[in-house]
Amino acid sequence: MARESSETADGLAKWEVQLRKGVLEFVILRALARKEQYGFELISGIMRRAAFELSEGTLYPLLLRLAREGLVTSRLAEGDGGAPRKYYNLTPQGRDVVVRMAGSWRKLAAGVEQMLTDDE
Amino acid sequence: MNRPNFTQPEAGQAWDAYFAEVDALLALTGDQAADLADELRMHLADSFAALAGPDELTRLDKAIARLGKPAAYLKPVVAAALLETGTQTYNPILIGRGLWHGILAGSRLAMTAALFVIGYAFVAGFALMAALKPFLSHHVGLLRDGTGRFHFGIVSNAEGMQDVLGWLSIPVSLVAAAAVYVGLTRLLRRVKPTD
Repeated sequence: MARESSETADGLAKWEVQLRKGVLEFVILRALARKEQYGFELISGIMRRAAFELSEGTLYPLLLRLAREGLVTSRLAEGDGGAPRKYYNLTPQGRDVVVRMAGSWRKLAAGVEQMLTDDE
Repeated sequence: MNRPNFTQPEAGQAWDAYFAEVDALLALTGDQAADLADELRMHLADSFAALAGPDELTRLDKAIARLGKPAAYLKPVVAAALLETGTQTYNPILIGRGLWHGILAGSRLAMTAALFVIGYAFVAGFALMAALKPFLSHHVGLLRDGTGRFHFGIVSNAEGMQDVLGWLSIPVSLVAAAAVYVGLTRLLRRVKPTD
């Protein structure tokens, strides 16, 4: 019984990790749509605003991929303390993609929410 | 660069150990290594500064835990860089290392990388056929058994089988190995199993 409950908890934890990973790309693009940001600022904002918990390091491979796909661009600029920081911003293509992603997300979230309401 | 001025030597050692691992991993990636390593140093310095508390080592340990183990999050970057260079230059060593890092990266990447490893195993098999033919001539090549069925490869029990290609199986195997290698490598360049 205890083993079954532990397996269920493990399964739920894995599902949550996959869910977060799936949404992370959208959340990053959405955050960058508001303003250009450097890595630590971006991940801190996401974790605070979207109650996201994830290994902060996973942000960087994802940003590299988004840059390769032409959705994100970066530039080096002086930070608050004077040391140069890499600031990320959306490209026009990235802005277009995030608008379409938001539409898909709203549709999906509304559909799932409706299912939950109907079943209650 | 970007290293905080620690008053606790243990904190300095923990910082150096973390970035020794980062640098060792990113050394495999070429051009983007220095940029990304600097960015990670800046990130950890920011995260460390944002945490409250008098004990530097505890704060740094917390910041490192939040950033994650380098091997856990840099494997996809390393795999992507190795595969990018490896597939452009048809370098089997870089491709092999890239696929290995892709497998270590886990999840979907591991599955795709593993499929390519299986594909490259066929290339190795064809090459092995060409290499073994001079030593095991009756067991290697395109063989036909008594029932008329064909066997292409290395056959342990080849008694009563007819060697259809003879020594021609060496160039045929080599051409097959080269064709599969080039085809798989071009496919790997397109698929990018590290994304």
